[in-house]
Amino acid sequence: MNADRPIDDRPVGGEDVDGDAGGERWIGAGGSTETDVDAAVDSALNAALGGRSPSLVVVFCSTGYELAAVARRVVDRVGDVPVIGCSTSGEVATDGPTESGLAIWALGGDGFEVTARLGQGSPEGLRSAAAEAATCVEDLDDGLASVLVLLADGLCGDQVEVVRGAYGVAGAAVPLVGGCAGDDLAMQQTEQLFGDQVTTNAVVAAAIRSDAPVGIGVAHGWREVGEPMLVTGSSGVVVETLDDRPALDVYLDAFDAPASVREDESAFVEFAVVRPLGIVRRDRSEIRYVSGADYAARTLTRIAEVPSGAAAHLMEGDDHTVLEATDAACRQAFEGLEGRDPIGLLLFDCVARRAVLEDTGIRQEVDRVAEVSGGVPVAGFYTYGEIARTRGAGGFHNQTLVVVAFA
Amino acid sequence: MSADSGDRRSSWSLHVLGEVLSSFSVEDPGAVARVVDRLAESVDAEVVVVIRRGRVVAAVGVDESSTADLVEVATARPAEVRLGHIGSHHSSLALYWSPLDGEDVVVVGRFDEPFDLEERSLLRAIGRSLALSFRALDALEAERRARDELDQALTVATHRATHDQLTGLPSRDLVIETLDRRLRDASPVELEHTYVFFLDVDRFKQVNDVHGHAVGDQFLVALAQRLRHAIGPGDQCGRLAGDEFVVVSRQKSPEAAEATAAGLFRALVDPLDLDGRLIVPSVSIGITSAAPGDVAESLVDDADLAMYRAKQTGRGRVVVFDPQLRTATEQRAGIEADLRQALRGPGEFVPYFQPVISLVTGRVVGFEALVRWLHPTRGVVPPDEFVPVAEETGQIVHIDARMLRSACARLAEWRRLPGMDDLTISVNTSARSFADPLLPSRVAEALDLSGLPASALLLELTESVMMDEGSGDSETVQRLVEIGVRLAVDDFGTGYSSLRYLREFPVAVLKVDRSFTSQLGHDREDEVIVESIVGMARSLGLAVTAEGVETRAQADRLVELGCGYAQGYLYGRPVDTAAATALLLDGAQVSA
Repeated sequence: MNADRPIDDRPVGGEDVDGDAGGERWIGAGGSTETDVDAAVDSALNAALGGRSPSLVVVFCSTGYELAAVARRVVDRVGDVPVIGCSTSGEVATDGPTESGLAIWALGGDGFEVTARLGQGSPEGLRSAAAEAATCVEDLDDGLASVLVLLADGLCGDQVEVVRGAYGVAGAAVPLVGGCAGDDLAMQQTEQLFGDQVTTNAVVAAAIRSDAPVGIGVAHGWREVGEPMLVTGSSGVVVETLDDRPALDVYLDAFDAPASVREDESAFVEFAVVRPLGIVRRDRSEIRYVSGADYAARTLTRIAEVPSGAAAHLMEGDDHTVLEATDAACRQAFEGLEGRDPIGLLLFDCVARRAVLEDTGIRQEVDRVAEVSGGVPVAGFYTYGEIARTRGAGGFHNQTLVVVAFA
Repeated sequence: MSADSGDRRSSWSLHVLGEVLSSFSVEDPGAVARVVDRLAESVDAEVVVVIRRGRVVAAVGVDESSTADLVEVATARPAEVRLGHIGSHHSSLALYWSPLDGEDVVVVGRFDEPFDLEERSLLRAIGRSLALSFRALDALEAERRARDELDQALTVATHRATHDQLTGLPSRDLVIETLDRRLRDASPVELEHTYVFFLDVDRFKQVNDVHGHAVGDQFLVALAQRLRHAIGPGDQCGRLAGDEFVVVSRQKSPEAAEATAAGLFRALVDPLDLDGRLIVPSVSIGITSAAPGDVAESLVDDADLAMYRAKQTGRGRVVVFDPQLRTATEQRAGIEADLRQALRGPGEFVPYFQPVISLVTGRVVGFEALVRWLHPTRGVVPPDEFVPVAEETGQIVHIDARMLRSACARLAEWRRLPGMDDLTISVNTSARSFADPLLPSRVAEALDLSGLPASALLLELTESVMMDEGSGDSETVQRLVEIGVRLAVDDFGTGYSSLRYLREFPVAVLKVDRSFTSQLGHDREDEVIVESIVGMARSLGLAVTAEGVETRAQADRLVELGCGYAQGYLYGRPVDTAAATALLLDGAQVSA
C-alpha cells in the first residue's frame, strides 16, 4: 500500500464485495480456527463482510498461521481497502474466544472515513514509528478522527512511547485505542500487518472518522496486595530495586513464590502474568505486566517503563474481579455512545486476564460482552499491552481490557 | 478502575514529583521532553508547554498554532483558554502557569477540569525543580561551550604549530614526526617502498628581489597548492623552510620514484601568472629511499644532499641520493672548517698571476689574478676544491676581498717597473661578492691603498652573476661606474650572451671561453662564434681576450679573426708573484 495518500480515495476491488463502500453503516466480525490459511481467512472474512464492501479490515491472527499468507489472502479478497492487523496471543470474535485462530473485524457504509499508515520502528524504539503511523489522521478530509486505532509491536522497547509518539501527532482531540501484538506467549517476536505487507518492530494505525459517537471503556480488575513500595532503582523497562531491595526478591517473597518460579524462567512468566505491578496515579493504578526476571541481576523485566521515584503496588486478581472489570469497561464504552445503540465492538484484552480467567472464564467474558452489547459483532485479541487515551496525555495500560464501541 | 484507598492517594503527588525529578538529566538533551511527557501524564493534562525566554522549548498535546496562542497569552496567564485548533468537543482548557525563573513558565492545560490544590502544589514544585535543572543545564551548556571553544582554540593552535602559516602545508616538525612514525610502523616491504623527495625552488631569491616579497609569498603558495594536488593518495607533502618542500611517498621501485619526481617537476613548472607577472618556476629535486634503521631527519638530510647535487649540476634536475654524496659532504664540511681557520690568519690565500698577452704586439699587457690556497698540510689547494664551498658559505666574499687588495698592491708594484705603467689586472669577483653592498667600498679601498688608477682594474664576472644582479642600474653597479672600474665578462658565449647587460653594465672586456678557443682550427661553428664575438665587441668598443690558448695555431687563428688579447698555457700558466715578476723583468715578451 502506498502510505502517502488517503487509502479510502482508491477504487475498491475484490472478488466478492458488492459495489462501493456506501450504504447503511455496518460493522462485521468473524473468526476461524481452520488450519488452512485461505479457508480460515475466507471463513472469517465472509462472516465479517457478509457480502458488503468494507472501508477498513482489521486482522488479528495467531502466530500459528503464516501472517504473510493471511495478508495476501485478505488483500486478494478485499482489494485496495485499508487492511491492518497483528499477531496475537489469542483472539476474540463474536462467536467466542479462539486460540491459534484468527479474527477479522471490518466496517463500512455511510458515515465512516478511514485512512491508514505504517510506521517502521528504529533502534531507539517505537515512538517515531507511532508518530509516523499517526499521520494517517492528517490524511482524513477534515483531519479530525473519531478514534485512532494503533497496533504496535509488543516486544520492542518501551510501549509507553507508542502513546507518546501517536499523541504528539494526533493531539488531544483524537482518542487513541489499540493493543500491542502478541506471539502466543512465546515472547520472541510479534508481527504487524499493513495491506499485504508484514513487518516487525513497527506500528500500524487506522484513523476512523465516524458520523456517530465512539465510546471507549477501560478496566482491569486487579487488586492491591500489601503496602505500596517505592521504586528505588529503574532503568527503562528493567526494575532493579523496590524499597532499596533487589526487585526480584521483593516480588518473589511478597507472593511467597514456589521454588520452581524462583529458578525456572518459563515458570516465572506463567506465575507473573497474573501478578502485575500497579503504579500509583492521581485517581487510579497504572498496571504494569511483569514479563520476565533476571535471576543473576535479581531484577524484573517489564514491557513498559516503571519510573524511578514512583510508588508501586504488587497486585493480583481472580476470575470474579476480572469479569467485573469486563462489565465496567463495556458500561463505560456504551456511556460514550450518547444513548445510541452500538453496532459493533473492538476489544483489546490483556493476555494476563486470559490467564486468570482460563478457558471457561474467557468464554464467560465474551458471553457477557455479547449480553450487554445486544449481540453486536465483536472482534479483538489478547494483547501484550493496551492503549486507551481519552483524556490527559497518557494512555498505555497493562493487564487491562479496552472496549471500543461504535454507534 | 481499582478501589484505591484515600490514604494512599494523599501521597500520589509526592511520588510523581519523585518520578519527574528522577527523569531529569543534565547529561541528556532529551530529558526536558521526557519531563514534559511525565508531567502531562501525571496530572492527566492534555497540554504542557515550557516557555523560556519567550521561546517554546518543549510542548505536548498542541500544534504550533495553539502553542503560539499560549505564548501570546503568557504574560496575562489566564486560568483558562479556548483553543480552536484542539477540538470542537472540548469547551475550555483549564490552565496552570507554574513559574520558572523570571518570565519563564511551564503552562499545563487540562480540558474541563481545573487543577485542585494538591495538583497545583505538585505543578509548582515541578516548576521549581525544572527551573533549578534549567539553571544547571545552562551552567553545563556554558561550560560545554567554553570547553568547545578551548578545544577549538587548541585545535587551531595545534594546527598553527604543526602547519606552515603561509602555505597551510605541514611544517618540518610535523613532517619529521609523521615520517618517523611511518618508518617505525612500516613492515620491511613498506619501509623499502618509502621515498622522500626534497624539492628546492630554483632562483627563488631572484623572484623575491625582482618582484618583491609579497609576490614571492604568492609564488610559494601557488607552488604549495600545485604540490598538494600533484601528490598521490596516502602521500604527504610539507614545507621545510623558505623555498624548500618535501614529499613523503610510497613508490614501488627507484624507477617509479624517478617517474614520480618527473611528474612533480612537470606539475610545478608551468608558468604562473601572479598579479599580471608571468613567472616560470623551476625546482631541483633530490630523492632518497628508506632503509632499516633510518630516522626521518637523516632521510630528509639525504634527500637534501641529492637536491643539492641537482642544484650543482645545473638546477631543474632530479638526482637520486648516493652515499658518496654524504662522503663529499663530509669532505666539504672539512674544507669549510679549514677555510674558516685559514681566514683567521693573514697568509694562506695568495694570488697567482696568469699573463694576458697582446696578440698584436706579443707583449704582456696585464694579468689575471687567480686565488690559490696554501694549505698548511695539503700544500697548494686548487680553486675548484674550495671555491664552491667558499661560495656557498659566503667565505668567498672575504677571500675575494683579500685577492682584490693583494692583486692591486702587486700590480701597483709592477707598474712602477720601467715600461710597465700601463699593465692591468683582472680580479675574479664571485656572485656573492658582487651582491655584497660593500663591494664598491672594498674596491675603492684597494685602489686607495695601492695607489692604482681605477682604469688599471678589471673586475671579472661570469654572465650568470650579471643575470642574477638583474639590471645594471643597481646601486653597486652605479658606484662602480662612479669609481671608474670596468668589468670583464668571463666565459663569454657559454651563458646567456645577452646584449642587454653589455649595454647596462660598465663592460670593457669579453673573455672568450676556453671551450671555443680549443676548437679553433677544428670546428667551424666555434670559429664562427668567436668571429661573431669579436665582431660584436668591436662594434661595441670592447676588447676581446681569448682564454685557454695552448697552441701557436690557435693564436694565429685568433689573430686572423681579429681577437686582440689572449691568455693560456702557450703564454704562461698561473704563477706566484716572484715568477710573474721574473716574467716581466725578462722583457715581458712572451711570444712563443
